[in-house]
Amino acid sequence: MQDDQLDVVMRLHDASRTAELGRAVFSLVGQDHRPLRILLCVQRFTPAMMAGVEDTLAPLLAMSGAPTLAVVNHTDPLPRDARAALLNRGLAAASGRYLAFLDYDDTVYPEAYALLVARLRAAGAAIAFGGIAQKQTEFEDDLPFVLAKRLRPWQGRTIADLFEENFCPLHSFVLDRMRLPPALRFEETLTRLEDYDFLLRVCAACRADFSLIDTIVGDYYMKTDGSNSTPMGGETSDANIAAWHRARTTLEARRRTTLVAPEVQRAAGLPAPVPGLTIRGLLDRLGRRAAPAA
Amino acid sequence: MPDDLNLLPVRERTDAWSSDATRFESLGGAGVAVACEEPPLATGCGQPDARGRADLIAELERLRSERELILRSTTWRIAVGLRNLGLSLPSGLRRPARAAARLGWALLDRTLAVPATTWWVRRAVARSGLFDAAWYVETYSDVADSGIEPLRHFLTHGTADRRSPGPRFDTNWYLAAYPDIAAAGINPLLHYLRHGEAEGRFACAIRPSLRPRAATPEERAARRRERRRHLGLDGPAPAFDIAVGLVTYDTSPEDLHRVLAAARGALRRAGAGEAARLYVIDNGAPSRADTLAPGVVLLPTRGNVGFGAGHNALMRAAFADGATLYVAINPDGLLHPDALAALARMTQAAGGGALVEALQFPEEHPKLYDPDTFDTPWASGACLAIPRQVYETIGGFDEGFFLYCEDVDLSWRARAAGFAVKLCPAALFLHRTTNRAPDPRRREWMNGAARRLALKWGNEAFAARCARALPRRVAAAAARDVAPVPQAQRAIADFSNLFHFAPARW
Repeated sequence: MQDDQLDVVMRLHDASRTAELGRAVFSLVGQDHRPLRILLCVQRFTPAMMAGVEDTLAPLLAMSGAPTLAVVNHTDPLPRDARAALLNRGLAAASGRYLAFLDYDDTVYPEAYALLVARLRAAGAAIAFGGIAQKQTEFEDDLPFVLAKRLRPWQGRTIADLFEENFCPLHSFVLDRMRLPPALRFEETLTRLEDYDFLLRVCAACRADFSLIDTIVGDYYMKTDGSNSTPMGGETSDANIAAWHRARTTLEARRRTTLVAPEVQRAAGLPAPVPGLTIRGLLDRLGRRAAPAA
Repeated sequence: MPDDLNLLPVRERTDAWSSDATRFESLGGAGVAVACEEPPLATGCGQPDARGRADLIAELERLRSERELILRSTTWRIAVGLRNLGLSLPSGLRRPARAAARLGWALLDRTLAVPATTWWVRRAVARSGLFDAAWYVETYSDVADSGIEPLRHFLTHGTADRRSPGPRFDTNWYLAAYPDIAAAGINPLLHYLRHGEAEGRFACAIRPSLRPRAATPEERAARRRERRRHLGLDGPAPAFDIAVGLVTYDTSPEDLHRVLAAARGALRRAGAGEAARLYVIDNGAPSRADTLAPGVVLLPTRGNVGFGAGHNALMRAAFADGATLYVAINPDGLLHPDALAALARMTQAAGGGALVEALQFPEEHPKLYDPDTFDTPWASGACLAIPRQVYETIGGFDEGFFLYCEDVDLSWRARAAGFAVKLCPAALFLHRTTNRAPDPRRREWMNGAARRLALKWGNEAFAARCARALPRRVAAAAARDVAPVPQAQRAIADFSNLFHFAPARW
């Protein structure tokens, strides 16, 4: 594990979106933190698609002091929806001490990783969170037009809030792999909320730092073409709803079965840690919202 | 807000899921389209049996979910006693008892149905600030003719006709942007008030375009052609001799090297070859020539003369050396490798007579620009292309400005002279403006510059406002030797949006 190196796992599933990928990578080129390595995980790309990606990124990676890049092509036929598998491929390829994630259509501010890594070091935490702004954006001919911006539209600022609901997008945190539980992976059977499931397990086991939650470190692009954030309409909406329901059921099962480490219990506001306490048990003791009916 | 605010409570259950789904999908990362993509990347899902099975599973899940929601509903729980009573009846009486119960329920349901104009619905909509009676009456001319009070009209007729309650909530856009709301069949405004706002959804596209959104495929195609034309994508290759200039102030050699390397790369991709023109002047301590890359022209420092004066010196030198397009860049940024080529294309598409700024990235200025023509009220000097033609007509920056607002002034003067001012979203300039350490001097410089701008462009009230935020001596210095622009040009200036100097998108 290389000290100081930060690996950024990016995922891209759609070869027609390389312009957005280029923007995301440009935001990584501008990062203050070095050394930085990009692990780009793509989903069943053909050689022509790979060439398109390389054409887009080559000039950026030729810039002075640019991060290095490794591309991982996920070619396994299953699962069909490989969003979690792509992240796991990146996790497996990571070699630095620090780890972050970034989807192809989001961006991080130049100081983002330097700030979060500094917090990890100062707090001795395994994960440090920053704030993310949301930009509602129209894309026309690969050009963005930001219609509106909201600072931290998702509510929540503490570990207990996170156990209750997710308010931390995938690119809002940096992990210290030295402090993470071994063999940590994303749950590949989940086609929704795989990142939240991952966060629940990390944050139940390790110390999390939220002191930069009010510092905006990146933007989440909510696209008006529906390519990222809203359920699909028409005949697919029922399937989408069912998928979400399955994911939420799985997440609640995770809350009911995942034990919370004593130091996390204390950080969540429980003065006397309770052995064998699950996330749901912790939320109950804190008087948080009750679990949905089974 | 009462639970029964929803006008269509049966569909609300589906909506509750969709709302959660959207909130989490928006958090879950942008790869969410993976699940919805069509077969190219899929394996096996194109087979009829596999797809049929998947559909059946999805349907089963949907029905399971529906069942769970029914079992959890208040109505179901309340009715448990009645159901048990029915089971205790003799079997011969159960069927007529069920029929009677159904009839009774139907009558009760009709009696208790929540009308759209129930007082708490009216109150919620009225208090939201999203219903604008005057706007509603003006927009929908039949409302006045109907004689129905506007709010009542909106609640009883307007929603069904997909009308908007006011300029800040676009019903059609909301339904188009969030198909789950449309599918659920619920009142979009009430959904927004109850769930949508908390979920981070938007009330309208807030599209501050100078023109309305294209509605038809033909209009969209026409707009696309127009965008390409303004971007210069279909015209001849630009024929500019580009020079890049930096005004530094004690910039570290490492940062300077990085900025210049990026500029050199961008010049190369813009066709400048090895004869790239790079100009630097340091307003702080003189830069050491040996820290600069070969070929960089380092002008002798003149002290801390200000941003505009520094660039004017560089422009004079660059244009004297034969450059035809000068691009000013800040030393705290990086040019995207394709930024200069994109700036040159757009400048050429404007006939060489336009100020063109790059899009600051990853955080951009919120001021308005037209997403089709890319016209903007003023262009930032952080990364700004200034053609020789414009420079020779209006001169460079007003050197009376020390820092800030000199770019606003230059832009307004360019517009007054008939030149276009544009923003090029294809040209990215990575500008380090986020999470900067607070610096009280910045506020002072901004107020001083804004005061000077207001005095020059004839807005005494705004000048006085800025003066109140300044020490007296600074306010006086900002007003020194101001040469007001002619009265006829002052209409161009915009102080109504305060320090944005233009309508802002957020």
